Amino acid sequence: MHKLLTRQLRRHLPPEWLEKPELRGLLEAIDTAYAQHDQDRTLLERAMDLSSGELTSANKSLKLILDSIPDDIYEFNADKHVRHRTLNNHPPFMLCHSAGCSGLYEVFVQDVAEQYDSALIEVLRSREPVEFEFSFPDGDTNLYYEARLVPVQHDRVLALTRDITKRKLSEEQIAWLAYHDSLTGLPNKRLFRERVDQAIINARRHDRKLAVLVLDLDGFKLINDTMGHPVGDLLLKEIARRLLECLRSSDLTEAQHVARLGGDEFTILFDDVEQVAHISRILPCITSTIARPLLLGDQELVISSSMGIAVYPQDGEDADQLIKNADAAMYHAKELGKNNFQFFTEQLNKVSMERLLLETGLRRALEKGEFELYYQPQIDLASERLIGLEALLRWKHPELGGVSPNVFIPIAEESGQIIRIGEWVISRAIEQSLAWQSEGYEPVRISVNLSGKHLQNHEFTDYLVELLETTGIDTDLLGIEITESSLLFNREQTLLTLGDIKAMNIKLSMDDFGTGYSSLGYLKQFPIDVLKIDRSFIQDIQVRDAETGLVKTIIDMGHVLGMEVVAEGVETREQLEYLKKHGCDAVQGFFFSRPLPAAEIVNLLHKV
Amino acid sequence: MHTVQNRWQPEHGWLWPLGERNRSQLLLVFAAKRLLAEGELLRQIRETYPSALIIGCSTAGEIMGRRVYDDTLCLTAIEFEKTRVKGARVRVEDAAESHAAGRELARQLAADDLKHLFVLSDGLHINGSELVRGVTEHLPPGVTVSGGLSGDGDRFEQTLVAWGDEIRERQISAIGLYGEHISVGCGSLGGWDSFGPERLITRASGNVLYELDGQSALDLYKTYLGEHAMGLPATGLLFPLSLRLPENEKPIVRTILAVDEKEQSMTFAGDIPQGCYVRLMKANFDRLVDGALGAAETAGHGLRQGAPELAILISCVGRKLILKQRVEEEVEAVHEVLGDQAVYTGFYSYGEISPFTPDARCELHNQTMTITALSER
Repeated sequence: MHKLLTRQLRRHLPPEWLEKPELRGLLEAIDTAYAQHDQDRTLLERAMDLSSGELTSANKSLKLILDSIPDDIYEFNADKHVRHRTLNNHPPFMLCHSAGCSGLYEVFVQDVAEQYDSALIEVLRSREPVEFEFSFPDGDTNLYYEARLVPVQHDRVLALTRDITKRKLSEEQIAWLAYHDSLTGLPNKRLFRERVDQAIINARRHDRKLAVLVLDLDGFKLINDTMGHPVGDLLLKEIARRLLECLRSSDLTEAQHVARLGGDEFTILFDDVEQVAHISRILPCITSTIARPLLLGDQELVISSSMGIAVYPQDGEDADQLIKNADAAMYHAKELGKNNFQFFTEQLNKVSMERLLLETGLRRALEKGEFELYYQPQIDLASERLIGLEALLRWKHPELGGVSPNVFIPIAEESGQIIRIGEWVISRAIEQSLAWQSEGYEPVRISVNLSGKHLQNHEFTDYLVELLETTGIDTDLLGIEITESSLLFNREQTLLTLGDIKAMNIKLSMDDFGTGYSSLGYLKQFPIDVLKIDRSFIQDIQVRDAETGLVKTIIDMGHVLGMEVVAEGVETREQLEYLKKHGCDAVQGFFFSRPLPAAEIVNLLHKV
Repeated sequence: MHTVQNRWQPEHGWLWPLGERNRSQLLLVFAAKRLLAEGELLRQIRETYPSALIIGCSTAGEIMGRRVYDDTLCLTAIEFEKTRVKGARVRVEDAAESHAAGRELARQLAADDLKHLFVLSDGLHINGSELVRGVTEHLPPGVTVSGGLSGDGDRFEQTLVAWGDEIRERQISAIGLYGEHISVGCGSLGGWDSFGPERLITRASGNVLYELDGQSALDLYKTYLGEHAMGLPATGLLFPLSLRLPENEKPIVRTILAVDEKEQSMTFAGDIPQGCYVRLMKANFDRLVDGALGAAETAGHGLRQGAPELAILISCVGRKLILKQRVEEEVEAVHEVLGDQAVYTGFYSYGEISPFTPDARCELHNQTMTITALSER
């Protein structure tokens, strides 16, 4: 029997009653009820224990999650007192960290508390979340925060506060990068264009002029290629600094009006130009500032610049037009020998249109078969016999007519089309050589001119090897001519290519010798077989050479270096005699023959 | 409506001789499985009431008057004056056929003047939620449905449903009440309290539950039951689940029917949809009794005319397991509301079928007291 029931019976009933059979059923029912009650209670107590354990551990993991969130979380009641808060961070706008202080104005500094205050009022009123951002000074900089207040239950508000300083800074950085050049810190083309457009609006309103100047460094590409990009970058930064310095000392424009358009192109906006001529005052300053020697690492460099200027309204109505025309003027300055400045003119516009026409025409010229090879004979001086032909490229433009190689070769080099054009020249020359042989003419060596671009292109050798193999031509019948300037770039690759050509037993000629930059050291380094004296020296023979002996010296030098010497541009009997007298090996020039198409040159060839 | 009741008890036999009101159209029989399975008593009844429609089922306790009995057979013979009654029966192989079975019953009993459907179903081989969905799917609005799943004490081994003197497992019997003279009120209330954390149903299929919060649900029950785990599945009724369905604001109670140790699974009387949340529930004596009272009030209000003449009380076995000696308190509470003029019958079940309120959708409930009050004008 249940202990409690036993005790109760003993206390309240005489013992003999317990034996009464009438009571047995009742007592048993009471006993069962007591026992069941105990069981039920034990079961529920156990359930309460278990579930409170479960809830406690769920709470613990929630707290862990809350504590690991970088946000600060505060729970406010309707009286704007902080009831709970996480203590992950101690933001500097917090006045009091102890649990003792809970009033909004006790916990946060006045300024921040006020912002929370009005947000709290709004959330309690609307029952909708409210977000706001605020900043707080931290030394020299600002810290930024984002607060999100959410209503919970009926009169409480949860405030989540997140430090968004990093995000803010990177947003600012991104915004800055969108409008600036990261290398020099100058405005970029986009910002410059917007400023010019804005300036045009002002100029139009006040009936004023403005000017856009585009500046390009002369020979920057050479520096980049030979000294490496890091040096190039340092140079650009220094130029940017100098331009700013120059503008600061002038009253013509503001420093913020300098921008980098890209590459080595800078641009300046003069937004208040009374007279265009006034701009000229600042140009010498820019020229001389840039021309000042600069020390990059341990190397001293001197660089010049070419500038072009376009003026609103006569040279363009919008930023793009002005920049484009200033650019054209700058190119004109380059063509005029660099290190100078040019204003845009209508004439210049025509020139740049023509250049555009040539550039697009060149792309089609190969497909349309507009190229042709002319051949100029090379004559052995001793025997006066034909010893070779120089292949010269001619382009017949469908609208412009014959275009000079001096005009289209630089364009082809800039646009990269020179590689395919050069390949066409070699294969056409070989084709012609083989054709003549099959027609029964005595084999004669044909020399073709290659650009520096070919020598720097490591795939060129492969092309040449394949061509020689497929055509089966005797390599002795092929010559390659290069200019001094083509040896200046990428020396390692150039040397490799020249070595390969030499190994194929192809004769190498140095063309236009004396006009470039080559030194004796260069000549010795490269495996040159033939030295071709530039026509300018030959033309001067009668006037000057008798006194200076320059041509004679070149011939002697060539011989000392073990090279054959060929004179170009021989036009007179006197020139011929002079060269013969001083031991020149061969000549080419109008005296014997001007360059002729294949059909005509064939008359000079000998039948076997 | 005229109603007479009789009861058979092993020690006394029939309370009084069978045969009164032998023109009754409908007989409701609720009995211990053993008594029903023997078939003898049903044969006697059949002979006495040869033309009556007889439906009934095995129980976890019979209700008659103010008392709750075990191991008896309770008979209620109903003679309607103006109301037509029609019966239907379907048999199922397994729980997957529940929905189709419900639909078939509704099809057989459908008629323009159908007022109410009363369903007694097998309690173990059926998905009660699906059965109810099938029954109610095509019913016109205004037709109410109530009923229950048959029981087998606290054994959960085999439940039987009677259709005439055919007594079978996997059987569902139903009657339809027709005409404008019958009025039916239904009410259902639980009175259980949720406790502890909300748990996500992470693995379940139909009415079979495997995992809560990624852990074995069966293990969870065993931990909570302690030494009572030995009494599973019956003791599982001490902690029903409160199920929050996305479409319902009011949580539904789900109660356990079976456990499978090999599969580590628990079968419930209705759907346990994966992705929903459940909480354990515990009994609160006063609230259980209040629940019965509330159900009676709802059912009484549901009667649009007159005082109730017959009240069918279907209450969950889980309540009986909890209330034990106090189980009659909930029957008495119903009496207090519906009055002494009514005749009371019913049983302790493995699931209750009723809308929460007269206007709500009919649903399968667990752990509730469900009352169907009838009155004929």
